[in-house]
Amino acid sequence: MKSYITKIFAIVLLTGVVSCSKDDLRQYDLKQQKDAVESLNDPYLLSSIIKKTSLFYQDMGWGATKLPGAVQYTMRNYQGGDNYYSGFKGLPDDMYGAMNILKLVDASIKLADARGSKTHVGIFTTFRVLLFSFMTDFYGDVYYSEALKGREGILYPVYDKQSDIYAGLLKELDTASALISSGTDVVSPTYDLMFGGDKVQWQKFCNSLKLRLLMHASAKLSDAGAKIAAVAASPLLSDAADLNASIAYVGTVAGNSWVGGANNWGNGGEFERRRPCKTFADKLTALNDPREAVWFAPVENPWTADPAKDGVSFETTDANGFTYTSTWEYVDVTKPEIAAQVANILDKDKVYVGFIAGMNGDFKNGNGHYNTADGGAYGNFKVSKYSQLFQQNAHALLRAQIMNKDEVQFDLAEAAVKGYITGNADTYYRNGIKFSMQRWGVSDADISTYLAQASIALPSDNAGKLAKIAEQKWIALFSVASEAYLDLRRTKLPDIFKSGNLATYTFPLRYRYPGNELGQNKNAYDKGVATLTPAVDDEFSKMWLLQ
Amino acid sequence: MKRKFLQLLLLGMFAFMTSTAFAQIKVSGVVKSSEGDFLPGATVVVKGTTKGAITDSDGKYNISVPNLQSTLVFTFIGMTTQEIPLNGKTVVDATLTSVTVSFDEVVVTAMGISKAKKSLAYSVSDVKSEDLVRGGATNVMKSLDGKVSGVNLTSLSSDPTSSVLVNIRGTTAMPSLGDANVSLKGQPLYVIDGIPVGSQTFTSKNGVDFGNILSQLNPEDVESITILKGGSAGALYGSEGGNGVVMITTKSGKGGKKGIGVSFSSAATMDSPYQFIEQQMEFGQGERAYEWQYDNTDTWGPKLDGSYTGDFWNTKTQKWDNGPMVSSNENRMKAYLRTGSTVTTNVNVSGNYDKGSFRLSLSNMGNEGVMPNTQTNQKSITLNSDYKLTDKIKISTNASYIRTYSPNKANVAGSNSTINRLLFNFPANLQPLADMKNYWMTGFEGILMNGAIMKDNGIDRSEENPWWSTYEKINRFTRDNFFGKLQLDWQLNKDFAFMLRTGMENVRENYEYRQSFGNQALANRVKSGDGMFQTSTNNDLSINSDAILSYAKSVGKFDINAAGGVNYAYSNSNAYAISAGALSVPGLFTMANAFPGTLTANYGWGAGQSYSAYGTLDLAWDKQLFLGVTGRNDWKGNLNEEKINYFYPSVSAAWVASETFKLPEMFDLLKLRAGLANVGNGLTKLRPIDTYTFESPDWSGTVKTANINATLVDPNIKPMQSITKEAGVDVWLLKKKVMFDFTYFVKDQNNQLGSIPVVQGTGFTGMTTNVGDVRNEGYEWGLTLNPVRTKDWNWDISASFTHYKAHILTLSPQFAPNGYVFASYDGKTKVKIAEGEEIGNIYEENPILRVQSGKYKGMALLDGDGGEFQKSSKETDRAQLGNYNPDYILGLNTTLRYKNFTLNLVGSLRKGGKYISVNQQYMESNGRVATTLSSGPNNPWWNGGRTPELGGMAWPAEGSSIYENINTNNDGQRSDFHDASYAKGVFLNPSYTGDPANATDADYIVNGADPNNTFYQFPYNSYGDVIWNFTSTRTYDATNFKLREVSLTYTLPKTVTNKLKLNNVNLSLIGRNVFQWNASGRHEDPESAFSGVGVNQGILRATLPSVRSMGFKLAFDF
Repeated sequence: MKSYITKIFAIVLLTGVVSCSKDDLRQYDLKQQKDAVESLNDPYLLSSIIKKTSLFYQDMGWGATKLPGAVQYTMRNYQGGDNYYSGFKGLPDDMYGAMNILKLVDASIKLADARGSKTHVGIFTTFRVLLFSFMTDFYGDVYYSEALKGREGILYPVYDKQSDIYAGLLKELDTASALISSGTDVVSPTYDLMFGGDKVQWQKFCNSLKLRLLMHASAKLSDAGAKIAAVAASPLLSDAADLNASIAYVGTVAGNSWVGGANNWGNGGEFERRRPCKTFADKLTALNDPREAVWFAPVENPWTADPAKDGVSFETTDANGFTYTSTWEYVDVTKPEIAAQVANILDKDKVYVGFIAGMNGDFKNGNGHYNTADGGAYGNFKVSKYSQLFQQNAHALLRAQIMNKDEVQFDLAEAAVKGYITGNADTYYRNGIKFSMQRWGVSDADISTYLAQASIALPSDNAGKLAKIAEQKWIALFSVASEAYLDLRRTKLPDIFKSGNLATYTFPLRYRYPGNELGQNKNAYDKGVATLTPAVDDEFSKMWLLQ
Repeated sequence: MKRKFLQLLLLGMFAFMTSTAFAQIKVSGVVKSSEGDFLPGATVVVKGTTKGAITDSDGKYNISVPNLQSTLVFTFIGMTTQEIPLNGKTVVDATLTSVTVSFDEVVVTAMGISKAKKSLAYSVSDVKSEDLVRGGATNVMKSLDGKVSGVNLTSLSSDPTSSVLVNIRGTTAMPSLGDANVSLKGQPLYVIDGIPVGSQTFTSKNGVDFGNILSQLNPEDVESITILKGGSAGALYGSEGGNGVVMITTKSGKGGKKGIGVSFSSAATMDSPYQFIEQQMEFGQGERAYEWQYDNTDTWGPKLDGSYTGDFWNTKTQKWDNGPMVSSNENRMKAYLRTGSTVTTNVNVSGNYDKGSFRLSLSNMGNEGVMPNTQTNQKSITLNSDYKLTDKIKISTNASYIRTYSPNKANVAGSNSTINRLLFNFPANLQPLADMKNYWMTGFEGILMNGAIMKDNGIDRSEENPWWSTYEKINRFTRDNFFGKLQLDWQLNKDFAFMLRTGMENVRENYEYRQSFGNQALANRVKSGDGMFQTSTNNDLSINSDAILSYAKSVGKFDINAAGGVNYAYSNSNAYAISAGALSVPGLFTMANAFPGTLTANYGWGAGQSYSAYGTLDLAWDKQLFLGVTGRNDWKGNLNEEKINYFYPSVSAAWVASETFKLPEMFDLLKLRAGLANVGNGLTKLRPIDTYTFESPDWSGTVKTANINATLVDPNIKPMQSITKEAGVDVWLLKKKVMFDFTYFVKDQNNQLGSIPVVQGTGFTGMTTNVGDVRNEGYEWGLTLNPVRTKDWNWDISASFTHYKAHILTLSPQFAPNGYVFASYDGKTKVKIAEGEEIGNIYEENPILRVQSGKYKGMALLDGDGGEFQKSSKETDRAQLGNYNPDYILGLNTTLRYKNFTLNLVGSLRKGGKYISVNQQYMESNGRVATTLSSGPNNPWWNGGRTPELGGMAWPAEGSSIYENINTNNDGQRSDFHDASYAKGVFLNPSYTGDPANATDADYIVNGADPNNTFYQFPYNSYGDVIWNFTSTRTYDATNFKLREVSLTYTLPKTVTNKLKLNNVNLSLIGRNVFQWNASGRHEDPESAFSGVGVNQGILRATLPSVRSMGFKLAFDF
């Protein structure tokens, strides 16, 4: 009897032990949860990568002032160090911004690959190339083959040589192009913010990017001509019906709005501080460019040499329906405060006026302002603001841009002049201008008028042709300042380097490496610096592309 | 006197009895103590009869016996009973020894194995029941303070229900970049009756401290607490025991008298706060002494002598008034806090029979907090029983249920507490708190708050009414705790025994927070609602099962004890929280009433299991050499990819030299011991994962976008190891009148796990890896003295001493390529992580910049714009503020008995360590303390005062300085009011244009040297600036002494209690935290800075003042 009780007792105890085991541990849930958090659907990844990359590029093109200032689109009248390249002196860590997106890109490629989503792998790879090309174009040697491999045990990734990175990126683009065309997976039209699920457009973007990179390296690749010819023969973003590699803003909250709108620059102060650069405004005025009215607002109190016009107001309404009132002010040198500013009054009887290039950070000096008290911190009523278009949260003309098809046309025009391809440079050139103007809502009639001007026609000599093409490309790349900077750096055209106050400033050729690289990854950093000419980590050393 | 009378009475009774006996043989003798003292009042009884006698003042007795084969029984309080057969003798002398002199005391060690204290090869502390309950503490952990060595116990406050932080021999955790506060990482494992119940976390929500889970345990139910301090002692518990083990043994019915016994005890105390921080009462709201600012909570304003007339919100009439400004002369904390009370009642019934025993205990504790409208009630029921199925098989069960319920507990930590408001935001001119009791605007009850200060519109509050916070911010909390075990003991044969045990603990906590309308401005309520309603529930279950086979055998001079066992542990928890961040309709606390868009819900669960096998072998040779070896292997991890196993060995040895050598008579025991253990501190294999989080807001209504968060785990990661070594000596002298133990220990935490920043090119921001090693070294000693041990007098003194220091031994070069890293700590303080750095050091983030060379070397450098102190932003300039760990902790415990009176005192001294008073920072920058009235020895950084009488200087005439910025700086001064002051230091001549680093003596101007070239400021700026920015100015010595427990007990004589049919009737006056001394002289409790609850260690901010509990306790059995 007693042993019987003992046995029962023992059984009860053991049951207690066993009953709270496997099922309650929710091993299945745990495993599923861990696996699940590692997974995300292709459409989500696609929209995330498109959005992040587009905003990253648009921030360089407009949001930050370093590159728009360096290429003389914009001058800032408050702490305007970027007006004369000061931003290049620091240790910009934009590289890490690209790395953060690349982390998502690499994870997406892994996931899409595991699911067999070839087209998505191809699209993600295109973005991978784009972001790595940003890193190497701006810094020089960077990590590429050893990047993003912490899990593989690479804690101190070394930098690859820029020549090797270029070779690798071009190869990746070939793979990507093949994957996009061979893949059978559907690209979500809703989540494909860029091309609405059109695989052909993606393939064209991929090829166009290859053309961009080949142009960047055309001086350094022995077989550049053949390669450019090959890619030019492939489908590119070149037809009237093709889309641009850019996305439209939604405009409801800060994160999905154009940076200049109320959702971001709420109080308008930053908007008022940024004004067109005189170099750029004068060029547009000289060419009677209809885009000028789209981009800039008429000056509020323009100077006039005609005393009769003093105090006369006029109204301007631009093509987008934005209205401005301006009042002429006579340059009355009998007034001592105006007499004191006469040397600074650069533009008279003009509606669109820019700040002088290389303006030191004081709005009084930029172009003939004298009424400091009324001007306050933001104001200069003698210089144009940007058009109200750029103050919208969203607008049909405002897009977060990576690459526009006019850029492709200008690349082809240059390639044709240089003999890489056989096409007609003038056709590409005029297509480029047309595509750009169409992007900004200029009417076909105005485009025809503009193209008919003698000042637009390509001259007969190749150097003249290249200069003209570069000038129009520079105008077309307005608000895509990253590419404008790389072109200016590569071709030295248009020759605007000594404009305004910039005569004594040297045009910077690269970004210095981020501070963390020196601190955390010194061996790799030292090797990267060693390949520069001269071998110092500053903004004037030449990387392989420029050597 | 009373006692003498009783003796006479007894003698008389015996005399009467003896005179009636028919056969009388006289026997006489003397009763002495083992020390040779005569024992008067000892009882002598003839065994088996009621015949007895009592010894006289010389210890002599005379007794009549029926025959010479009788046996005499000698008894005396506090001495062992002795039986002496007459064997024909008529003169019999007896020598009684003190009962406390026992050399066979046993203590419970790991896995519930009892061992003779004498044979232990490591240091343990054990505290017995009577020491735990003597002071009437309701919290078991609080009653340990001052009674054990090697343990650092700190409480958030001396409130009876607050949490206690326990650190055994200090912590060896390394601060990390994300978490520099190491105090919570070294909590010990708690084991109740052999069942591990985990380490004790704190439950705190919204700054409310709901106490540790174990603080619920009824002290009256605890038989003993044993603290296994070193690795060797706790190695059998594996990694869980790496920080030490607190073993709690509850009382059973065994060992009592046969049959049913009942005992009862009740204690009641009044809890009253004391030690209030003094505040200045002379100046009111504003920033300048001539300018009234009725909406400002700073008190740098005009003197409150009635000469200023200003606008003020009249909380009584509920409208804006204008009148002379006077001081309320009210210490707000004193006016706000009340006298709380704690009443505890315990009843237990025990039964002890041949076949088994039981003990049923019921207790009830009610606490009215010192914070108004706060209350805690705790009820517990415990049943422990055992039953012998056969002579060899015994079954025992323990079951406890404890319920804690607080209808409301107040926020006592952090910036949102009422204490915080009263200390920092309540200018002296505001009306007395009693005038603010009507905290609703009349006619708008439940909707509009009658603020302490209102906005101009008279509708919205500017400063919360403290009574509104008291009655309309309700933190309701319940905790149900079930724990117990089922155990089978089977003596298989003479040598082998088998034990099977399974136990569980299930803790369920429910929390609710209700905040009424009134805080949000009326105009905003349409947009964002008002009030708040939150609820959360935690549910934790842990189950532990063990099977142990043990073997005991003596072979010649060898004693062998061995045991082997297996353990299965399982835990499961879930928690959910639903929160309505704001409500739509006032007074309706439901989730359906959540203001749209403010409802959030969280749910999480966790489950874990481990399998272990362990063994222990103890070898003893001739009662003088002892060797102990233990080993344990854990298999952990749920998923296959996470599974991992570890082995934890320990070895210890002791040599009782006093058995080996013939030592002088005075030595009772001389023992040397040493131990070594390696306790892996756990790590399941970590799977690096990528997680995606959706971005908020989405790109648009239809398109979502995501971010990636990826973790990186070092592929070469090693398990963390905790290696402890200890060596010690025990000396017992003069029949245990002196007992001393000393232990030196070294605790190495190697391969500490942590996250380090990595090269961004890896694609990750941080990597989990082995960060480095920390070593903690220290020593502890305990001393027990029994200098007086006579019939009437007994005096015990015991002291416990704890000292330890931890240093970072090595640091991964990946972690700190420069050799050091600073981690953010609290406010403007940092913690340095570097090799050789002592754990607990705190650094000032941006110290005052000083002149580096020349004749002004060391003087503060002021800026050239406003003459304010300049801060250094260089890491290398960061100066150490101090270390928050004490140099040592000395506990003192003394018991003095005179006849039936027992006086017990327990105190503890914490020597050394620094703390940072955020109280002082805020009160000074808000102008709330007297040190802000004028410069002086307590504030050497500036010169000046608020008014001319207080040293305020005249403002210089306009244009008196050649430097434009000095003149500009004097804007806003009033030439007829002398309140100019200046910061002491030098500034660079404004016309100096060179590199400041190359400045020479001639380039500096001493501020104040030339009245015309001085940067004057209002005291508000001048002094407020210093205190706000520089932590060094508010760092204080934390040394303090607390008289933690006082009790005076009167034990009713047996003669009286027998008549009442009662036993052990004790009546005590008790007191806790009766007295406190702070070396800093400040009236705040430095210990509150070390609790680790709410804030980081060493930081004191707006905690409760010290609380003194005084009352009485009654206990008896029947």
